[in-house]
Amino acid sequence: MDWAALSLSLKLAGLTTACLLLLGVPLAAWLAFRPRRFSPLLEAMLALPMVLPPTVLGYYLLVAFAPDSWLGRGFEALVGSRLAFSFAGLWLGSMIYSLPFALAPTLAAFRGLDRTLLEAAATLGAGPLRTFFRVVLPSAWPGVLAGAVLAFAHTMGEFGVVLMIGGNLPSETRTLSISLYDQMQSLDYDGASHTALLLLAISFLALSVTHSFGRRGAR
Amino acid sequence: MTGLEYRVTTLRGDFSLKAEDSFEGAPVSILFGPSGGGKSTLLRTLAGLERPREGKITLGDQVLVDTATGVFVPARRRPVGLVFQGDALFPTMSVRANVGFGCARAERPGRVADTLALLGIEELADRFPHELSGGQLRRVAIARSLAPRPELLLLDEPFAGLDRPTRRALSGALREALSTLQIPAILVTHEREVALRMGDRLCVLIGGELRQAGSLFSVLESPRDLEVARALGVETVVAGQILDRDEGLCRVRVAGVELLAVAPEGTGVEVAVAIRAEDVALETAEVSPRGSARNRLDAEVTSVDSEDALVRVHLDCGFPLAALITRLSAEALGVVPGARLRAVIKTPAIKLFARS
Repeated sequence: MDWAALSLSLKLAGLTTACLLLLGVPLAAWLAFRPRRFSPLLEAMLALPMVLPPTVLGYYLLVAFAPDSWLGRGFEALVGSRLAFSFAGLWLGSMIYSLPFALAPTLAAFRGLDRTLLEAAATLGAGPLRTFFRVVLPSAWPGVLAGAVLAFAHTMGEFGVVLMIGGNLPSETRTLSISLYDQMQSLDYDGASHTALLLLAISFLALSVTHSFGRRGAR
Repeated sequence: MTGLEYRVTTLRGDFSLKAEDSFEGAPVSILFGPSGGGKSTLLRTLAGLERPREGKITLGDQVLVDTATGVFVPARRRPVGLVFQGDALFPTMSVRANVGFGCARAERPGRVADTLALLGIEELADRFPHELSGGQLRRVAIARSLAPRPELLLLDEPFAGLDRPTRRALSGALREALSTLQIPAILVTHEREVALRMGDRLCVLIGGELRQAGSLFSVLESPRDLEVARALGVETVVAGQILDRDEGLCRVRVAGVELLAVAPEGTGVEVAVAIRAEDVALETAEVSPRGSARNRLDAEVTSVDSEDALVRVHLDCGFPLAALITRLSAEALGVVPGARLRAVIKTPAIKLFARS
């Protein structure tokens, strides 16, 4: 078992999920409750990573992260290290790659909310923040949780994007699924079976959590 | 009591709403009309959930909307409460939290307790909406809107979907709460019975246009045109007082005339007296009374409208009364304006609606 890879994957998935919650929940609220003039286009763009081949996404990210791109240059100027083939780059890529998985259930939960509840809150003098925390979130949190769990599981298991933009640096970019690929390449079948089983267990656990909360939310 | 004045034009797809009214000191205004007439849209416009294309809304001395000067006070800053059709209670909050939602933190506990008591639902405070019956939900919704003490309460079909005894109890509680708090209300309904029970003013909205507004009885007694009359249900509605009750019957005085009717529930004296035109028969004034009908009124024909095989006869018998009879009978009786006849109404045909 490659413990360094496991801890890296957990760190990456945890950080990505936390950031996606901070970013995705307000974004979903904005998409769900604002007048939807240009949102179809924006939503299509945000959902793109869901259908795009990971290698294609990885390619474009790599181009964007290149030391001579504005993003790569900006990051290097700011932090002093390169974005491509680094944990930071991997983290940024994972955010983009997993965003639709965090966003979709959250957005569905917000959209499924009875609109008159929001109007009732407004006629009772509540502003947007109070309405969100007192009315929206208490009803829609199973959707938010499902989004977080999916984003976490998805980041744990990502391979294509990581390989393209992260490479295979131990403790920096070698995640669990890369490690599994390595173990197969070096004919370490015992190690591979352990790693695969662990990833399977994590995926299964994640889906069990979302399904049990999805049911509670529907009640 | 705060006065309300509005003149709005709202466009929504191919539906347009035009309404204008002003009143002061009317406890309950009824917004009446067939469904799809724009009643809910008008209510939402007054609440601030709908932006009128053009117009002005003034509540007390506060301008809520004025498209000419670009004033639009959003819903959450209007001192207006709205009771939604279907209640819209927050499902994740207890009754106490629902009712307290609109109150400032400092005055929340007191307001919640007072308002729950006012609507007789103190014992529900710790329950959740999914544990309540239809009538209880409605009371909580009304309490929630009243707790912040708005200057105007709007109610969208507050009696819809409730059974008769529940309605009766709720309408009593609502009237009492409004008069205790001195909050004027606008109540949307398409049911005449609700209008007769609750209304002090009546506004008739048909096809997106406010056709007539005035005191309840003035509108009911003289609808402006045939469409308004149709919408109201063509019949005589007048104010009356119960003189005495005896064995389930009562004597009602209407404009100096006494009628015998089936006594309504309760002990109130003020009633709305409703008589359908088809329940009024006519006979010549000469014949001596016979038969079972208890109410025989001397009447003078004021006007006559023909409706195919039937004739609608408008009478003055101290109060205006309409009778619907066949053309044959009208010819035999010599029904022409100025003719003196006798109107005959069976006791069960006189419907009384308690108003106090």
